[in-house]
Order: sequence, then C-alpha cells, then structure tokens
Amino acid sequence: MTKDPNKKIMELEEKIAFLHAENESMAERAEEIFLLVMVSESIREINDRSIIVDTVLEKISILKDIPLCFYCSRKNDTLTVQLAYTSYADNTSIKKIELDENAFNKLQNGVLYLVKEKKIYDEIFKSLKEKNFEPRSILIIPHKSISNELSYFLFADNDEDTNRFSEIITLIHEVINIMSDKLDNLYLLEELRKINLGLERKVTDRTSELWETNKLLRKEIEDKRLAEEELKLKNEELNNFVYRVSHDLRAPITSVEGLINIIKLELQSKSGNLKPFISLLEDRMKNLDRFIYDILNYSRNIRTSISIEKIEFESIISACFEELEYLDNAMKIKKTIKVNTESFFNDKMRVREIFRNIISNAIKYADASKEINTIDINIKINQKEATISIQDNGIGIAKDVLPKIFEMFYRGSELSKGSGIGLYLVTQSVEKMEGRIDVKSTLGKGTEFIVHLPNRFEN
Amino acid sequence: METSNYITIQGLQIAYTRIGKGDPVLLIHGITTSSFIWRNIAPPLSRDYDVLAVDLLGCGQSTKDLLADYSIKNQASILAELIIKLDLGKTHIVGHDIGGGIAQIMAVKFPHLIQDIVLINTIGYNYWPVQPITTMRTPIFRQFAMMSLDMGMLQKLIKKGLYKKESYTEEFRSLVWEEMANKKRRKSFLHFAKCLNNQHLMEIASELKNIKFPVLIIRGEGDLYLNSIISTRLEEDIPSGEILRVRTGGHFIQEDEPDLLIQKISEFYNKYQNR
Repeated sequence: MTKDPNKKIMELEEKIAFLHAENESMAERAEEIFLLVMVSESIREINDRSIIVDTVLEKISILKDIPLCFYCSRKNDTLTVQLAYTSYADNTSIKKIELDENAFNKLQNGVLYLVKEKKIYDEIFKSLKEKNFEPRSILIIPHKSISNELSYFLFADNDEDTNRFSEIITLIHEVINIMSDKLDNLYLLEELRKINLGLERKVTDRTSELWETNKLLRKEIEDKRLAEEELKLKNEELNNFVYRVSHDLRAPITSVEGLINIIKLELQSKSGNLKPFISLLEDRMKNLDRFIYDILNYSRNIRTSISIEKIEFESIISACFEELEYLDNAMKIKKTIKVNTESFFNDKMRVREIFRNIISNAIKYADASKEINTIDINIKINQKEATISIQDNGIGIAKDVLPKIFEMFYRGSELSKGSGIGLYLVTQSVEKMEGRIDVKSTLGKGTEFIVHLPNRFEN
Repeated sequence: METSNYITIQGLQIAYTRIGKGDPVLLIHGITTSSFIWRNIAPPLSRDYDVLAVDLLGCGQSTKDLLADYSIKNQASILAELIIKLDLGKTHIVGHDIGGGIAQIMAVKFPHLIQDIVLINTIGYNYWPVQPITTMRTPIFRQFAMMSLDMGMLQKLIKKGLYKKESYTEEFRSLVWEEMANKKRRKSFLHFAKCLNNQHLMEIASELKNIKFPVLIIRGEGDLYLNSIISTRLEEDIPSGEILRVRTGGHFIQEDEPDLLIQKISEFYNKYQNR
C-alpha cells in the first residue's frame, strides 16, 4: 500500500527541517570552535595587553556578529570604556556608562543580561544609543584576573532576537578565559622579569663594588711599588753620593799632602821660595771648604722644610755677587738686574742658593774671548709666581751635555773646578718650592736659566 | 595597473583606474575583490578602448564610510553618476559577481547610459545565498566573517573560486587579503556584505525583458559559489541576451581564463560595433 503522497511530502519536509536544524547546530559548533581556536592563535604572539583585548573584542564582534563590544573599568557606579570595537562605526563616542549600585550588586553574582523590552535599566540603553545603532539587548560580564583590577566586558546587540546573548554566554566566557590566561601569563612573566632585573642589578652593584675595591687595592700596590722604586733610586743616589763625597774629599787632601811634602823639602833646602806653594795650598783648602759647604747645603735642603718670608731679590742677588767676588773674573762681569715692584714670598735661603749657584756658574764659565762678559737678571713677579731669567753670554753648553747638567756630581768637563753638586742643588730647591726650571743654551753664545717659583703671597 | 583617480559622488570618494583610448568600458568587480580583479583584463582591452576599473564604495581605494549605503542599488546609482560626471557617453559595462547585479540594476534604471553589458558569473534574482543579512546564520556571511579574520579560511575560499589549480597564486591571495588587511577594511568589507539584499534584484527582475541593448552572459561552469540557474534564467528573460559557457572557468574566471575572456569580450563588441 502506498502512503498518501501529501503525508509523504510532509514527512520529508519534516526530515529536511530536522536535517537543516542539525546542520545549523553543527555549523554553530564548528564556528564556536573556530572562534576559540582563532582567539587563542591570534593572541599567542602578542605581548601588549591593549592589543590582546582589542583583538579579542574584534573577533567576538565579527564571529558572533555583536555590533558593540566594550572593555571597561569601573569607578563607583560608572563604567569607563577602555577599549571598544563597534562594527557599525570606525569609532564610538561613548566614553562612560552609568550603572546603579543595584546593577553592580547583581554583577557580583555573575553576568548582567538586560533586554530593552523589560523596561529596566533604561538609562543604560539610552547611553549606548548611537547614530546608526540602537541596542535591544545588553550583556555585561565581570572579569577578574590576577594581573588587573576587576574589569567589565560589555556587549550590546540590536538584533530583534533579544534572546541571542543567552545562547552565547558560555562561549564568550570561554573566550574571555583564554584571554585571561594569556594576560595572567604575561603578568607573571613581567613580574618574573622584574625580579630577574632586581637580581641582575644586585649582581651588577656587587660586582662594581668589588671592582672598586679591587681598583683601590691595585692603586695601593702600585703606590707601594713606586715608593719602593723611589727608595731604591734614593739608595742608589746615596751610595753614589757617599762614594763621590769621599772621593772628592780625598782628592784635595792628597793634593795638600803633596804640597806639604814639597814645602818640607823646600824648608830643608832653605833656599826655596815657599810662597807659590802656600798659595796653592790655600787654594786647595778653599776648594775643600767650598765642597763641604755645598754638601752641607745639599743636606740642609733635604732636611729643612720650606720657610716662607718676603724676598727682596735685589739684596739677595747683591749678596751673592759679593760672596762670589773671590772668583776669577768676578769683578769683570757687567751685570744688569731688573725686578718689578710686586711683592714675592717664598723660602729665602733656597732662593739665595739658586741664585748663588747659577751666578757662580755664569762667572766660572764666562767666555774669555769676549770683550765684555755679561749677566742679565730679569725677574717678573705677579700674584701667582715669579719668573726669573738669568742670562749670560758665556761659553754656553753643548747640546748633548744640556740634558745632564742637573744630575748630581755631573761636571761639564774634567777642567771644572766645582763640586758637581751646584745645579743638582738648584733643581732640588726648585722642586721643594714646587717651582720648575728650564735652560736654554747655545755653544759660544751663552746660557739662560728660567726659574718659575710660586708666590706664597696668601700665606 | 595605473594609480587611482578619484571622483566625489554623494560626498564620497570613488577610486578608479583608467587606461587606453576609444569607446568607454566600465569594469565592475564583485565582493571579496576590488578593481585588481581586472589587472589581467584591462591592459589588453585598453589597446582599443578607454577602460575604467572602478573600486566600489567601501572597497579598494574608495571611501570606507560605515554610515554610507553600500547596497548594490546605491552602488548602481553611484556608477551612473560616475558615467555622467566623467562624460563618458554610452558605456560598455562589464560586471562580475555582485558587480553583475549592479550592472543589471543599471541596465534597468539607466539604459540611456549603456552601450551593452557583459555579465560574468553574476548574481541574480534571489538565487544567490544572501537574504537581507542580519545575522551570522547566513552561511555566506559566516564564511565572509571567517575569511576576513583568517588567512587559512581565505585561502580555502579563494581556491574554491578557481577552476584551475595553477590559477591560485601568491599574488592573487595577497591582493584578496589586502581587502581585509586591517580593522577598518574588515569593518568595511563586512558592512558591504551586510548591505547586500536579494530584494534589490527581485525588484528589477520583471523589467529585464525591456533591455534593448546586447547582453553577453558568461558562465564559468566551474563556479561553485553561484547557481547556474541564474545565467540560464537571465538568458531567457533578456531578449537580447546570449550566453557563453566556459567549461574551464571557476567563479574567479578572470584568473582562470583571462585571454579567453578578452577574446570573447572583444568579439562581442566587434559584432555590434556597426549597429
């Protein structure tokens, strides 16, 4: 028996409707999975919170066709829109949404789902109305993660089917959870990074502290090494000094002994003239005396500290010349002295030593071939220092000799009569007074010593 | 293709590229693409014609104003105004997909502006799978939404629109993706989809029989998106309509068979040239 065709058609139509519904539901489920996968995939590489929330809002809006999606913060009864996605406009002008305390109380227990037709919370519907959008249903979901204060997702739809939100609340919750996990992870990573940074900073600080200590220690070691070297040098100098002093003390004594023997022989013969020998003897004794004098000066310079007093250059220089009158040629020298009127203070005894030695050299090494021998002394004083130039037109110093003249016991030639200690004493004195000395010389033309000495005026 | 020109219509900027000299040809793209779909068609055609490839409102370089009406009805009005403003005179219209729907509306509403029409894989009547779209429940909109967000989905949908495997190129994919490359473009694209309404073609269906100028209907037999009934019915309804079926063409037939398309369009124009 064949069935009634109409009945058959009805059955088939029912079947089609059922299959259609089933297809629909499967599509919905596929779409839900798609949304979840897509949200999770799309925020995987993002590390900026705002961009993450922004991305999620757009995905929900597009895939669940929700025209208005907001992410809000709350202050008292007001929700402030932090991030927004609106499918009906590029931007939204809505900044704040007023909710009453009652609404927030309800939100504490979960979501707030409002439908316009029910005529409650009308104010919210009004506040979400825009030029080409008028909400019919609103869904607010509170959201708490460890990384932020309580915030709120707000969704609004203008679809006539006001029941739509109830079907997708679970899905939206799941999406928000995915986002939350990501934000929490970011927050924890950030915290971890901060702790790491703190630790790193501590290590850096400690390292730099150690480095500083190490540097100080190294400096101390270096200072000690330098002091030792200096001491060694001084020792060597001392040895040299002792050797030279004893040698130079012996030489005139040997010479004096020889002369005394000659005088003895001459006395025996009774015919001899003793005068030249006694004169020579006198000479040797004077040399010895001068040498001892230099040595004493040297030792005094080392021992005594600086004593500051006002210095009258003219009188010091005159005294020096007077003292040196015994030297050959001393009287023949034409001297000029220029000093400006500014006062100068420093160690008088040492200044005198400097002049005595340099002038003494200028006299000793005067050029006999020249008609006139000159010594020009020019002193310029200011508040800071005195610049002393002592220039002669003597025999001059050879270029290769010039660098050595300030060394202890250096003698320009074997013919030198001096102790070899004079210029050394000059440099020692200048150093002690914290000054400096330069020398310029041309063989056959003359020599100029320039001494800079600080003015201890303020003391 | 050349740099875009702009013209302001309804206070909105409409972009178009224009090359060649001769009788004017207006190329209208469909949804998910923009004027780039004509990049292999326009240059050869421009040897004999003044070719204009327009970006529909909301697409390509044209304005993306979500308050504007992106419906095919309004797009048809905009293009009619474009023909008048540019003083093109009677124009050859070529429409693909949604662009074919727009061309049909123009044919009925603005016949005095039209020389002839080529409809390529066009939408028609209410066979295309959109109702006035309001929800995701419409399958095509759901697909559009997904493709706007997901490159994988986009690739799948493009591949489905091509008959030949080799027609799928990196260039074509990136040109389509460009249409939805940022938030603003995605919004505009989805707004375009939502503005689509079958009703706008149903309104003019009964007037198609009044079309007097030649109409060439090109149907890619490999078009898996649009029902073949559309082309069959159009041929029946339009007295001057003639149909060309291309076995090796998918929905994006411009990618599958560009040379054939140029050849057939040229032949069609030459046939009626001295009318």
